[in-house]
Amino acid sequence: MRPRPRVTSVRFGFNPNSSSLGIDVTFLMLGLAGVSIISATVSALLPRLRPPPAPRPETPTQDASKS
Amino acid sequence: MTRRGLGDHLASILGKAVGLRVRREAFGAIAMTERPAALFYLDEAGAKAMGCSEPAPEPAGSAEHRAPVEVHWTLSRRCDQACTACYTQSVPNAAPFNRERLEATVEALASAGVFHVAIGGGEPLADPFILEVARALRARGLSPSTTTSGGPVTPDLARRLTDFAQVNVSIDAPGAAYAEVRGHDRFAMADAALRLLQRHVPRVGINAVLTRSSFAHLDELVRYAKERRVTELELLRLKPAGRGRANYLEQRLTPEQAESVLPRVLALAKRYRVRIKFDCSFAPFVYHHAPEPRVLSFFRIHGCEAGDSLASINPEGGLTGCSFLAAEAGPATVALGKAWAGSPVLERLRRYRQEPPEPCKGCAYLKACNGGCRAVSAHLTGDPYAPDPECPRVRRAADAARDAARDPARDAE
Repeated sequence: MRPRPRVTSVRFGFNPNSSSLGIDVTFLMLGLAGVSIISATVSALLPRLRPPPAPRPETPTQDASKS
Repeated sequence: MTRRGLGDHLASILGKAVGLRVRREAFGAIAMTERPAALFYLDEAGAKAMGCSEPAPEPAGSAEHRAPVEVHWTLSRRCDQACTACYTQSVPNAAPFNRERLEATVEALASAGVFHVAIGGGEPLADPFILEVARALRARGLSPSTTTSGGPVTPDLARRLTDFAQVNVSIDAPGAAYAEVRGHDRFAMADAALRLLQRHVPRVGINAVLTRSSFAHLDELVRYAKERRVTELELLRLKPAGRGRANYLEQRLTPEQAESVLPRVLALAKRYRVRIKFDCSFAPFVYHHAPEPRVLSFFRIHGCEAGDSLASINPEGGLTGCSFLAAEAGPATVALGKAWAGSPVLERLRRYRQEPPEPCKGCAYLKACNGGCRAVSAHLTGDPYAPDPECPRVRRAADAARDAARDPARDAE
C-alpha cells in the first residue's frame, strides 16, 4: 500500500523584513489540536494541486530580417 | 479528455490560482502558495503525490534545505532617514543598487529554487531600480517583498508596487513615541505611507524594533495595528549591528522584559486579534516558556536558520548567512549554486546544533533554537559561535558560574 502524503510542517505568511526571519508566535495558541487539524486538512488538500510550469528566463528573439 | 486528464487539468488550474510552486528536497518537497502565503513541508510520499518525479537530491552538507527558502537582498546602503539604530549604517550619499548585478543575481536565485526575496537597504523604495528588481524577480516566479520607512511612498509609487507580495512599514511605536527609537519624529509620514500602500498592495504590515523604551508602548502599537487592519505586526529584537551598536546596552530589552515578552504579546494578540510575529532572534525568549515542541516544530517556530533556510546578499553581491553576519560564502551567483552545500562559512552556522557548547548542549530546545542570535553573541562575547548571552538559560548558567567562582567552598559542598 502506498504511504499517505503528509505535510510535516507549515510556515504561514511572507517575511518582508530583510534582516531576520519572522516566526508567527500566535500559532502557539492553537496547541496540539491546531496542529492535528491543520496537518490533516493540508495533507488531504495540497496533493490535489499541481504547480503551473515555472517561468523561464527571457531569451532574445531572433529577427531573421536583420540577419 | 479522460477523467484522469480532467483531474490533472483541474489540479493545474487550482495550483495556478493559489500561486503554487514546488521544490524537491532530500526529505521530500516544499510547496509554496502565495494565496494564502504559506510554505508546506512534505514528506517523500507528499512529494510524489504532488508530481515530483525526479529522485530526491542529496542533502546539502549539514543543511536541511538544498537552497535557501528565503533570501534577504540588501540593494544598497542609501537612505536619508538617519535612524539611530540602523543595522546597515545607511547614509544619504551611498551608491544606489549596482544594476549590472540584476540579471545574474535573479538567475541565481531562480535556479536555486528560492521562493521569497525580501528586498532591503538602505531605503529600498528610494532606489531608482526597485521596480525593475521586483519585476525581474516576479518574471522568474519569485515573490518579492520589502520594508520601507514610508518616506518615498507617493500615490504614484504605491500604484506601481504591483509586483510586491507584501510591503511592511517600519513603525516602532505610534504617535510621539516613534521618535524615542528612531531618533526623529516621522510617525505621520509612516502612517500616511501605510494607508496609501493598503490601497494598492495585497498585504501591508508593520515592522517594529522592540527596545527598552518602545516596550512600554507595545499595547498602543498593537492597538494601532488593529485600527489600521494590517496583515501582521512583526516585532524585531534590537541588534548590535551598524549604528545599533552604539546604544545597544542601554536600549536592549531588560532581562525582565525579555522573559515577559511572549505572554504579553500573546495576550495582546488575543485581545486585539492581530497576527504578531517575532523575528528569529527572539527564539530563546520564546523557548524560556517551555512551549510544546511538536507545536514549535509543526509551525516552524525556529531560531537561527542562517545559512540554511535563510541567506542574505549584501550590496557588494556577496552571500552571507544572514544580514547581520559579515563572513561571505562567496559571490551570491556562485554560493547559491554549487558552493551552497560545502561552504565552510555556512556549514559553521548550520553545525552549531551538532557541536554546541554548554549550556546549549543540554537544552531541550537546541534543535529549534540553534544557539540564539549570532549577531548578539558576536557583539557581547566577541565570538559569533558562543551561546546567545541574553538567552535566559545562558544568563542563569553564567550567573551560577560567577557565584560558584566567588564562593568555591559553597560549590564544593
